[in-house]
Amino acid sequence: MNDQSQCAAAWGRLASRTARKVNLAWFAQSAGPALLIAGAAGFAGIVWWRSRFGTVPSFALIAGLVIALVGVLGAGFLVARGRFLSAADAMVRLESELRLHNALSAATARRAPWPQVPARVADGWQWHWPRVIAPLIGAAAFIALAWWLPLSPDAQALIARVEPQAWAQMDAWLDKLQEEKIVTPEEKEEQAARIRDLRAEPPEKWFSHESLNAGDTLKQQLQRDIQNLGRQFDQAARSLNALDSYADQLSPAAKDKLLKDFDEAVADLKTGALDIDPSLLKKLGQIDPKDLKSLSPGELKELRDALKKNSGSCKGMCENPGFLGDGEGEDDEMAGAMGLLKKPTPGDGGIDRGPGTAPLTLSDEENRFDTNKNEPASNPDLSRAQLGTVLGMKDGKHEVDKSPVSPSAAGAVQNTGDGGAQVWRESLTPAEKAVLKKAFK
Amino acid sequence: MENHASETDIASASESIRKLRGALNEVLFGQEELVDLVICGVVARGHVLLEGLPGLGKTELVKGLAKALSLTSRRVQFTPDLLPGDITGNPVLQEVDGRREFVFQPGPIFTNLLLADEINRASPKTQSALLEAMQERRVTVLGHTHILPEPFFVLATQNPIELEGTYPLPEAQVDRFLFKLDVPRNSAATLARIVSHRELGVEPDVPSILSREDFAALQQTARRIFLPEVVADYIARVVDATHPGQSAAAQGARFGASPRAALSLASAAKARALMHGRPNASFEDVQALALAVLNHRVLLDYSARIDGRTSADLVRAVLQEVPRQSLEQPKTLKES
Repeated sequence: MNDQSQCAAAWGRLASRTARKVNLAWFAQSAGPALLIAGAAGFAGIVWWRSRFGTVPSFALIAGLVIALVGVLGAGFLVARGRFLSAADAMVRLESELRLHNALSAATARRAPWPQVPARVADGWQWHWPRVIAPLIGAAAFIALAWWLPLSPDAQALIARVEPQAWAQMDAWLDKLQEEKIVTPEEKEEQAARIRDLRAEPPEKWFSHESLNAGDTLKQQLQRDIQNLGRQFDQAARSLNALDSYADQLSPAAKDKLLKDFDEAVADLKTGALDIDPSLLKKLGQIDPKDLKSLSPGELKELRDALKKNSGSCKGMCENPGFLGDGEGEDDEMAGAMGLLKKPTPGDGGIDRGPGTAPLTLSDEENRFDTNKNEPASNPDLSRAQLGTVLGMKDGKHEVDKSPVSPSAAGAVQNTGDGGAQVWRESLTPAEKAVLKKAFK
Repeated sequence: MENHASETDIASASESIRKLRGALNEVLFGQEELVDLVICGVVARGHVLLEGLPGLGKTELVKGLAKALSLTSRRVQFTPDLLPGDITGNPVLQEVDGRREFVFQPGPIFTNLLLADEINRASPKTQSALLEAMQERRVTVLGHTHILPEPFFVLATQNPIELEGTYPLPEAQVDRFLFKLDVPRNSAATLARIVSHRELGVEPDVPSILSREDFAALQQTARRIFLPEVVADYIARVVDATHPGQSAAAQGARFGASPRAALSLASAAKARALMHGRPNASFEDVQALALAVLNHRVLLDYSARIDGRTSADLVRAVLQEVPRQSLEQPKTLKES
């Protein structure tokens, strides 16, 4: 290999190196925005997955990232390929930067010898690192942020707890019934199982019409059962109290009626929709109303208090309309309590509800229409002007040509002429006039 | 490697031009750049228009060039009453073999080097008589075409002052000049040298550097200088950018340079490469010659002239704007 061949090969390598550098730069430019977009999409996907399922499987994450990366890089390559630099172009760049007087182009065309390769060859380009690295860092930051972003457990729980309020209310009732030892745990579990059936539906169906309807029906039924339970406890307590306190003063018929009421109440409690606590039921079953004297005053009081307490609890539950904001108009109450409710003003009423009356009826100021007030009216639309309408007035004078027009002798000059003005008026274009005015200024 | 200048030819031509340059620099002191451009012009077979104040040595330069190249030269002082026939020649009624017939008497244009002094003082009719001669190197009188001697150059001068009674050269004729060169004023040091080495009324002695045949061979060598495709592309983009709307630099241009300007720039770039002993023209040659080639071919509009812009400003702006290589740079790279 002679010297010329070596030079040609060396220049070829340098040109290829420059071309590769430029092509890589084009690739980086094309892939950068795509990488950022992919990073943002990855961020959204990972955050969604974490909030939905708690965590992201590492393998799925890595596989997804690799696939996205390959796709992005492939797309970037396809976009950048149309702008790739050839080795011949790179050689022209080199000879231009090295001030070789296009010796490389001439040598490529075999019209001149290859020049010697200088010790230091620079193509005049250097990497713009911030622009190269920024998309990479951005995409990595997106992924890292999505992975490490702390998602609050409370928030997740709150999201999970958003469910129809009727369910929570039934849960509260059942908890209280069990806490007060009014119903058996089995009965509470049976009622709770119905609510669980509703919860077993997908969360997106919890607020569907069917689900809300079923929940409300269940709630109303439970509420009725609790009301009945309260009435039966109340009836038993009142009968027992009357028998204990006024047994000597009652007529036999009244006494029989009280006994009958007590028996009916106890029987209803046994056969009611809700299974009450067996220990309470056992105590009630052991009582002989005709012989209350057989019970000690303390036992009797304890039994009476238990019945009253259960009755009060059941009534308390049923009197509670639910949660604040649960019923119609309760939002207004809450807003009123917080001072947010707008003060009713006249005209705010509807066809079937107040308050207020229509304006211009009862108020002193409402009848003042300002009918005596005169305001000028004008019509700027001159296209509708009538004949004889004065459109405008202006002070001005007619432009009278004062040039002397009297006869004069041949050769005499009376008018010095206004040739310059005529040229100015007729020969120059507006643009030329503007330029001349600017120049004279 | 066919039909291109050999290294020997280039070296020989370069040496001849070096000698020629030396001889002319002895004629015209302190005008090295002007001398180089004039030599470049004649090597590229182009006509040159010299513009400068009287007494700067324009005529001496042309005479010295003619002597150094062993060419015949004639000088025509252009005046308003000069007629086309005074330049091209006239048919004269003569008796030939007992018959009277018109015989063509060649005018001063039948020379190798025509110095058209103060060319803008002649009427447009007379100026246009040069058109055919300058472009096709022949003249036609009464239907007969007469070939001009080879080589043929017009080196015209015009005076930028005393413009009363002058006729600006029409664009078509200006376009036929390869270069329009401004002859600059001499510096004090140059003037001192002139005063020391010259005497009023005595012409400097110029040796003959090249024979007519050698000069013709030198011109041929210049034509065989290689013009790389990228350089040709650069010339095309530069010339195109002088047209209104084709570049930001061309704002204020009324008419851009013609295709003849592109050809002229290419020829001149080849000649300059030969002068520097290179086998190919380059970007640098184009940039060095663009002003001389394009300056008189670009016409400015009214507004630009009023604003004080010149054609030279426009050409310089074009050279600044047009990159050597039509190459887009990725944003992830920056110029070092």
